[in-house]
Amino acid sequence: MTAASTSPQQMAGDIIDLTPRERMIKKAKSHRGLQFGGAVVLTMTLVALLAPVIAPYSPFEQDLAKRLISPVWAEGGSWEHIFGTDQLGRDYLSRLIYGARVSMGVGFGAALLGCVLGVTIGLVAGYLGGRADRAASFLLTCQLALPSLLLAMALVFFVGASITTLIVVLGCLHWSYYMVVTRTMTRQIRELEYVFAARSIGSTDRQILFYEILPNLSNQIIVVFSLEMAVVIIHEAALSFLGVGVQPPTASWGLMIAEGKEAMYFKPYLVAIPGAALFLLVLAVNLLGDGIRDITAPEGRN
Amino acid sequence: MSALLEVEDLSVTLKLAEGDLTAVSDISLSVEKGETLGIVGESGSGKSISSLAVMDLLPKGTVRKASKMRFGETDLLSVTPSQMAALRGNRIAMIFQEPMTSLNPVYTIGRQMTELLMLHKHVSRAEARDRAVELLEKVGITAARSRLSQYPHQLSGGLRQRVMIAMMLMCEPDLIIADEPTTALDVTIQAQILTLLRSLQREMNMAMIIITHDLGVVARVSDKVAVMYAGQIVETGKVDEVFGKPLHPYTQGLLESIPIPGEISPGEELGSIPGLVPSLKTNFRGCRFANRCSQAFENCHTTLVSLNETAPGRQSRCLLTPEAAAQAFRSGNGPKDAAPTGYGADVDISGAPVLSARNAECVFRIKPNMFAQPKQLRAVDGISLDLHRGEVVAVVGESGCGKSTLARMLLGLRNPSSGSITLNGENISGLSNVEKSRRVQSIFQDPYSSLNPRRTIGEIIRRPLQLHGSGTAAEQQEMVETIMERVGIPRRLYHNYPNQLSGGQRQRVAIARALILKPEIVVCDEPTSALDVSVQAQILNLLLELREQMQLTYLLITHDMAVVEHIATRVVVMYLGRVVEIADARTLFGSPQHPYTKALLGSVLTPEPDADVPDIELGTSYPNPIDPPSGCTFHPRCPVATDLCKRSAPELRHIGRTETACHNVAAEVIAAE
Amino acid sequence: MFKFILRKLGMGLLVAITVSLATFLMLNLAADPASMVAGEDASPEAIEELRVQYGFDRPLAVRYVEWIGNVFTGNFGESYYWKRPVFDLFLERAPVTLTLAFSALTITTVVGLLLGVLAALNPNGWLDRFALSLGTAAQAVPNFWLGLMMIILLGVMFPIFPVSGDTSWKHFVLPSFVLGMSAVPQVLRLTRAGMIDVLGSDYIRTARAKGFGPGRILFQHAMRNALLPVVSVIAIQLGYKLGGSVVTESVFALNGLGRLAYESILGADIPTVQMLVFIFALIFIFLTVAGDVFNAWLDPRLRLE
Repeated sequence: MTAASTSPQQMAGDIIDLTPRERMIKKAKSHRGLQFGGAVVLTMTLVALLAPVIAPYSPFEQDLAKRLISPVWAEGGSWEHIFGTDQLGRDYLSRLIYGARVSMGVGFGAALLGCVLGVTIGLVAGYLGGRADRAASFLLTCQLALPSLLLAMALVFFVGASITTLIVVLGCLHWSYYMVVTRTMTRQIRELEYVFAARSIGSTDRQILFYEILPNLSNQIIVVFSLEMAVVIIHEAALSFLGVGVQPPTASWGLMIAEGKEAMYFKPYLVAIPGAALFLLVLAVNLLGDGIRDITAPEGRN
Repeated sequence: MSALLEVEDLSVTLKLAEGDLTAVSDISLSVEKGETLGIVGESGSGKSISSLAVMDLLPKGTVRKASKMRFGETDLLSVTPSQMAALRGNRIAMIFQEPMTSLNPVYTIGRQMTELLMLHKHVSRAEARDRAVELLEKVGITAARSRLSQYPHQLSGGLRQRVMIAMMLMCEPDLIIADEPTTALDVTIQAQILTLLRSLQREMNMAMIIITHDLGVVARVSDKVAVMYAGQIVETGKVDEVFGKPLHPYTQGLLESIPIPGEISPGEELGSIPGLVPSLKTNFRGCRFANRCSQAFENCHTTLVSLNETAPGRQSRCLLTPEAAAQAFRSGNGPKDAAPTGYGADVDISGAPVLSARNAECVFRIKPNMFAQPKQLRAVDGISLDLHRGEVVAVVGESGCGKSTLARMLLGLRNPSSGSITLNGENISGLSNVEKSRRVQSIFQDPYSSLNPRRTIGEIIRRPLQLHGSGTAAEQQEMVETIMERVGIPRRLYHNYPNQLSGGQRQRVAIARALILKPEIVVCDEPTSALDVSVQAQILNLLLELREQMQLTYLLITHDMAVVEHIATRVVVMYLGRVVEIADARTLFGSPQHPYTKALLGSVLTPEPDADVPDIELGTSYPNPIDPPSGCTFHPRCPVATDLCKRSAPELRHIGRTETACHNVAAEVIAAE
Repeated sequence: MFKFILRKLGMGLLVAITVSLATFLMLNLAADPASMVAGEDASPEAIEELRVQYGFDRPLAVRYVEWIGNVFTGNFGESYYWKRPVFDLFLERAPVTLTLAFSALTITTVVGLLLGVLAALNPNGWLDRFALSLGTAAQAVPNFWLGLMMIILLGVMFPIFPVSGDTSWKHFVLPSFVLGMSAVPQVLRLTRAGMIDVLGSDYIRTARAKGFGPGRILFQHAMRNALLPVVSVIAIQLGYKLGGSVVTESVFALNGLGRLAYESILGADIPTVQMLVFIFALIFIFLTVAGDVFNAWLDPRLRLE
């Protein structure tokens, strides 16, 4: 099988393959999951950023006369409130649009914080090896042993819930995946000959880390970033659902589900709609991450 | 009597996303009982695929076609999967390249050996165990019964390959297919395994197919040979005919590419095959070798060439007449018995050394886990070595002997635990990275990992200039282009990425990067061992040419004695972190002193069809460096070891023109005086 | 082997101590325990009184040493909110969580392993694509939402299962399914990847060259190697699930450990939360050690180091 693995890459002439970027674009063009995920994430990001412009109503404005209007497709619904209204008569679509801000904001912020922490620890541990590596791996074991959702709940609740608290707490509890990936990759690259070559042409450790190693990690880090962002979005929603995350009257999808739960037996859309939005966003982020992994993966052996 | 295995017009097509790839086209083979067929070719030639096709072990998504495929009385094209399975391991056995990964790690040796016999021959477990013990003993494994309860990871690579062989012999197969059986092993072990295979084959009167890229292995082991190129057989015949009088230009090119003492003198330019193997996705309209062939004429590019019988049992896929083709062989390389060229005679080793190691030691602390006591691994154990201007010093030894660690210390990439390394008289640890790199540069083994995949060729070669801040951007660019031309990389590859280049081209890029700072010394760590034979010759030629042009001094780290003999002026033989022998190249190859040097030289397999595999008398396998033997560390493997050798470690002593560390050699000299 | 287990346990103890310290510091620095216990409207005097009464006025280090010392002597402390020993509360709530965790784990393992192995047998086949789609969907669906939708669907619209409480096995069907599905993607992907890897390995090729049939290759030669990483993940998952699934338990109103922890948080009962987090970490550590030991039994290479 080794005989077969090298031959497909060897074409006649000098240049036997596309540049890494060309190859990536070529693969992206035929990757449905990536395209779908990318489109949804892009749309949701725009919706979140442009919420005040797009939303038909204020997300906070209560109109008790218009309580629990069904969405447009159900009996009693109207185009005035496409997704209906909640128990306090607030427009559900507007709340959903503003809710996207919380999900995307917390998801992005916490994933970024975790990324900075995890990548730093991973780089140092992987590059230095030895004692630093053992310390980092001990830290990792400890982190994994902690019940993170429970701890996040407790910390957010005790400190006092706010978007910032959520980002900081969730970010600090979600660095381990970045660290594992960064450390493993760094450790592999550190032993590759181009790092020795870099050292023997006179590069310093810092130059090696930033010029030789980090650029080769960026794809993997982006992949982990998207997968972690998906996890954080679900955790934020769960915390808000349990009442220890985003506080009313701010609109968050998790909170909307919690509020809708009271009336869900006769108005199931109250739970179904924000949940579906959450599902769609997390699915899209995951697909985007998987897609990036697929298109940046080195050529398979077979 | 008709052949045991007969294959006609075998083609294998891989279904890939981008289209079909015909890895093997129209191959015909036959092997008789007791006969050995060698299939030789470079990577990508389809040699392994053909054997997997015979075994019906092709990966999913491959299509096999043949007009005839017969084994004994069985038609392999019409058997059911279960009938085929009943043949595999039973009447046809196969040995693979990687002994480290080819045995299941979670089961004992005994279980893996006995299950085979119990499956095919329905014997009891006790009988199977007895047979396993018998075979383990036969393949030269001591304490065989106790080995049955060991796991693969507890054995060294050489032992695992022996186990693999013993396992595949459990059912006394009629045919054994060995796919690169010794490629992953050290040279001394290689000779032992080949001898073993050869003698077992004779004893059991088996047919054997040996697949390899190593011309030496084929020449020594096979009766007849098939040379493969780009999925086709280009030449077949008796091994002495093919090697003595190759008809196909590719076979000729291959044979001219390897430095064979006697055929070519040290330092002389080797023959090489320019260009690259064509993609197998191409729709060929002419000879597949035409684009690289020095003797090609117009018809070669437009006519599909078939395999022509030139004599009984002798075929060649070439449009040239056999006479014309035979004449071209070695025509460019001067007289057959090459006169000494005086290569290396201009080197003066009496002056001050440019690079020198004094009692250099490198000790690693191995700590398997937090609670264990750290252990010491002496990778380099007190080595003194001088490198003079213009020399090509080769450091040789088997894997694990510490030669690469020594190279890293000499490059200043690793500080010695004790002792010193000096560069032009200055201690290397006192020099900055930049100063060191201006004088000593390195070329690495694997061109696939020595270039950063995210940087373009231009960026990679230019990087040293940027780090050293030499010249303006325009000047740097010009210097890069000059050096690219000098090492033979087309200028238009400047903006391409490493993955777009072939292995040989990448190695040229690595050489360009090393030479752009105009260093005095270049440390070459196995510079050709990851390359195919024809490309290896190109790189060796380039290194020799550059040495002349730029007055370079080379330190060559390698396990390939043929390469050493060709380009080294002085040789250092290492064993377990120590030097066992130093001498100038001609002295060392002419009259090796140390038993280990003798064994190393003896295990080199030059492609001489009439010679047999040499018998290497080396006991056991390479010791674990964490737990080295007492006294002379070579004594457990040494054929002439005495009690003294077990007790005390010999010092390096001058004996004639050689320095060697051996009690016996020293004693002989004293006796002679 | 004995030494191996001992070393793993020693490591586990070290992790446990570090985790206890981290938890203690985080929770005590996040908020002032005295004012939390006293409640929002308490006067500063009342808070001070509580602080002295419970010993919160002493330095953190002293309190930590006392706390961890008590743990070693088997004293798991007293809940301020429930006014009862934390360990009694723990024992009282454990059976529900234990039932839920094991039934969920069974679903995770059966679905994940089965689909993973079947998917690996024919990569890119229809079953593989189905399994991967299921995995992707299960990964994206929020646990609590899935729970609510199941309640609406199978509890209200088609009332097959009860929607809350813990009095019969029927009560556990929906929560086990929801909790079980959440870990399916991980087990499925890992099994599939491991299986594909192993099936393409050199030693499986050797087994085929020895003439074994596909069934024997799969079950005897491939399975054991492919399952090694899965064992660790299952141990980890069981660890998380035994630590109480706050979300699932509160959606289905199950009175398990997760709900106990949740209620303690809402009740601002720092000592109880602290102790529960520590106990969960201990359970987790123990299970991962058990997973390691089991793996070492499966794979002789792991026994050495």
